[in-house]
Amino acid sequence: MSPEPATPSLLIVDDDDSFRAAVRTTMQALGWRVTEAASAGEARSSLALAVPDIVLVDGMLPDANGRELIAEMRAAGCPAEPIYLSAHFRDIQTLRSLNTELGVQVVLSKPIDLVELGVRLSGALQGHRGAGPADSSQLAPLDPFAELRTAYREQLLAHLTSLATLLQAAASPGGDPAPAIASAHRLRGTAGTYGYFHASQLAGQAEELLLDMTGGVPRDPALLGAHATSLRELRSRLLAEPEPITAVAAPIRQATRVLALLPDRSTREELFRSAHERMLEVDFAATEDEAMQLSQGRVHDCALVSLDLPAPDDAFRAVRRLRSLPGGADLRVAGISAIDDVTLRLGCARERLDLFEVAPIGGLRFIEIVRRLELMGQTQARVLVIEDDAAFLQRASACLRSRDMEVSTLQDPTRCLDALDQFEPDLVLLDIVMPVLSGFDVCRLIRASARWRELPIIVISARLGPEVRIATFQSGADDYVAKPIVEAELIARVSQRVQRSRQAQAQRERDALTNLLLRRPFSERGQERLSMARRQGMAVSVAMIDVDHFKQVNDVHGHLVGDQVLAVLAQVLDQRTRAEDVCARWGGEEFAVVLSNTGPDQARVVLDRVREELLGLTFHGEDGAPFHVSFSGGIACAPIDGATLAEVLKTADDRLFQAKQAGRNRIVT
Amino acid sequence: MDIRTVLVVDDEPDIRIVADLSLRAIGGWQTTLVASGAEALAAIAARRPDLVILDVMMPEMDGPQTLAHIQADPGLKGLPVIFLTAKAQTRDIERFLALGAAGVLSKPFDPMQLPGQVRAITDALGEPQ
Repeated sequence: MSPEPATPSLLIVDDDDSFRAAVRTTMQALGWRVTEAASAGEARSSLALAVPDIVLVDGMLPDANGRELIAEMRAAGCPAEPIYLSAHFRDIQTLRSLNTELGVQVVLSKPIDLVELGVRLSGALQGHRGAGPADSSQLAPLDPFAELRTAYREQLLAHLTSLATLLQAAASPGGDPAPAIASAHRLRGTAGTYGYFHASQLAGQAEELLLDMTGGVPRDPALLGAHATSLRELRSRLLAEPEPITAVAAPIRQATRVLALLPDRSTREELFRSAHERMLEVDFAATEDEAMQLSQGRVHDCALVSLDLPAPDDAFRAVRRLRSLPGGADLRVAGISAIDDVTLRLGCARERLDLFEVAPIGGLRFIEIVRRLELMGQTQARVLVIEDDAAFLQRASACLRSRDMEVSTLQDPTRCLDALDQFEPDLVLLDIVMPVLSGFDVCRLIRASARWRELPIIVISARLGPEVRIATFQSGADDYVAKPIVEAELIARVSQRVQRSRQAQAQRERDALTNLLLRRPFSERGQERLSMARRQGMAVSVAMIDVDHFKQVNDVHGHLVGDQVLAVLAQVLDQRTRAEDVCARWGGEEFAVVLSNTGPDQARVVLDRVREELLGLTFHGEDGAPFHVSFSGGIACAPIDGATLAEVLKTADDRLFQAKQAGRNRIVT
Repeated sequence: MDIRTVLVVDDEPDIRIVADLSLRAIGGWQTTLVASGAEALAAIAARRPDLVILDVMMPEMDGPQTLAHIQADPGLKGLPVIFLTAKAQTRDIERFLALGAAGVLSKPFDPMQLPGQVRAITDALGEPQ
């Protein structure tokens, strides 16, 4: 027979009488024995008489600060578990030093919800008495690649230096780009595989730049020099940072490839035109066999399939065959029907078609359907897992990665905001019991940041009584999963939440015509990019763009054609910028772009390419008359032209005005 | 199909090391590592693996050339070859598949995921004829 566990005991050290009363009442109701002290002096006397399991110490006492009292307890070898009560929720530095210097595992911040208090103290008691979380005994192997990653770090530093040198050699007159290309190519593949994604990305950019040069684009020593500088900067950051936040490589962005299986010739012709106008890659097929032929060795991202082929069953069979092709298993399909019919809708759902749409689907609707399918096809949910238990972290990550999710992990919750900015997850998976900042605190911290107010958060906890559940939702979490986790349940909850939140977010934040961000979300994200760059000591460029003589386009060629011009420009902008850049429709015919880690010279090259590409496209007015469109742009750069997005945008706007004054169709930096 | 042994061909030692650990520790497979196309052909001749993971860009004999040698040997019919490349644009993927590769994986890869991705490709192949 195991002995009855002793009654848990608590000493509250706080000079606020009503706070002590509230804590006493709460904890006594949970079966705790509670003693009180109103000062450090009283606490010393109390501890001399009896040592409780837990001492709750307020940060500010009349005769000492809480930190000193805890230091004293530690120095005297007092076995009680100290919990620090803080009035400054945001002062992470102090909290961190409490943890590292004094071994404080739990910090509570005032005001504290009493339900949560009970949960947190019970958790601390479990930790103190050595009964860890239920599943900590089933230790999965630690990250098997951690050692390799650390060992590779030294080599990476050397590779970065050598690539920077080779880039400079390639930039000098008569310099040979071949060694730099080989080095960049190797680094691109290897660094990312070892978890160093920024290095991989920079190397990839360098490789493409060099390949452009060997392909005939004139060599620009300034651009290569700028790249070499970025590589050296990254090297010194890596030297300073103890460990990179590991994340999985972002896939290369590619144009969406659409298959359209439509027996009706006039629909095909109409869609062909709108696809062409929007520069979508669409393969058209009139029959099932043609569709199969087009799909041999060619991977489509999504498909539009007519349900009149001639019967729905023929269409369903075609979809099954397409999905059985290599790489076709995840093909997203919209069924297009001439009539709206419940039986047909049900058939589509049973055959796992993703959308049911009623014809006609010409023009804009076609593009909208493709975008919705694209959004669903983004199976690679990005999940940030915040959890101090390495074994659990490992298991949860492996489980999510097995479903093609990108996972980034974080063991130190005090770095959560940085991690969010760097990784930009679709969802956060969060443990409740962690040192310094609990899951509840992290939830509140995330919800207090404008940018992450809507981010789905799922909390994981080994103890899920009603109190924990209530505290979970009150702190701002959306859902919870019990430990030990059931893998299928975790995957289902995560993927469903991500998909719906992405759909809602796209609708909320994006302009319907151009699919670019609206002004407010742009400003939020742009400012985040600026803040992140400042922390990293990198430059950010901001551009304002305005279509030249747009009023004339509308007046002469019609508003629909004007819309088309805007949509095409948006698409070129989106495709010619990187995933970490931010593009917006600022309003009317004005666009704004934030280019991360990019100086003004590089930004100018990027925008000039977009300008030339747009200029090279031929548009047709409603009367069929061909015409061309240009734009003017102004570029400003943080930190040189200002610290805030508003300041930099203002300067960019002034330069845009200069570009217009100087005769349009040009970029001013 | 059932995989027990995998031959990894890549001239970059760091990629060989991490792929090796990934395929062994997570995939549970036996691995052989070589650094060039010529060594790959010799290794295959000595002992036929169940699968070859082949880097595209290598000095002297590159990935597609190595694949052509494998295909030219009637005794190696049905040996699946997966390309590993840092330039996995749609166009390249199509080109590699047209050459007869079983699949294409891109670098950088996540070592936690690599065996799963390999398995997804080989599962789609079904039983070799």
